[in-house]
Amino acid sequence: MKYNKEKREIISDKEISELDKFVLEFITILEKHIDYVIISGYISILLGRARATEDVDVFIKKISLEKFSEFYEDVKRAGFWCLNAEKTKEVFSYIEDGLAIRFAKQGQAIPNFEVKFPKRQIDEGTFEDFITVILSQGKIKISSLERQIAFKRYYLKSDKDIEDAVHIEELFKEDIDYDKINKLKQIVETIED
Amino acid sequence: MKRKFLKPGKNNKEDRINFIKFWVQYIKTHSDKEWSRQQNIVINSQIKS
Repeated sequence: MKYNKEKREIISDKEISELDKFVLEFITILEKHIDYVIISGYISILLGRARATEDVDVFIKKISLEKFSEFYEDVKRAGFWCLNAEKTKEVFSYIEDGLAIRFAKQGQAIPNFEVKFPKRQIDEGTFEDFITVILSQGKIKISSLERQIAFKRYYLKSDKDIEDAVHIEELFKEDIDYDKINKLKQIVETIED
Repeated sequence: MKRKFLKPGKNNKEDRINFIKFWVQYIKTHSDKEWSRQQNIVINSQIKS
């Protein structure tokens, strides 16, 4: 696994897991319609952490109902269903209200994709400094390593999140921008919710 | 290559962190194919069950 900091790319020759296949299938449809960046736990798994997960969190850029509807029809045709509602307007109303909507393969509940709009300014920044992970079977856009570490260490803070942060730090310690983590830390520590 | 050993932690939390650091060293010193084959046993068992 090689990280090119300047290009903001990680090249991995890993064997694709069933979870990676699920992610690649979903984002191949998603990116036809909406810009996205994957956040949270799946990133550390994609980068080698030996644990499982129920969901894959993703930010999508804010879009209209019409644009969302095109994506929703496409994803349903590909065999996914929304766990929160059936009707397009109802599903869209949830995400528009700042809530997350989940998609899984038909007949299954996990793994699922947890899709949401960025709420805060710091969330919007996820689209500015994302990294592309290049696998043998496709590309996946993930949030920057510094954002991952800052959110997990100073906002989420569960044992699992701290362990995810340690994994990423240990793996890329020569390339991580610790000043950036400290700046993000100051912001995430002010988040209330 | 000299084999690296895992230092047992004084409690569960420390032991888990020690293992994560040990596993990262394993990733760094083995091919992507080799470590991912092992990682996929953990991941795929959840998805297929």
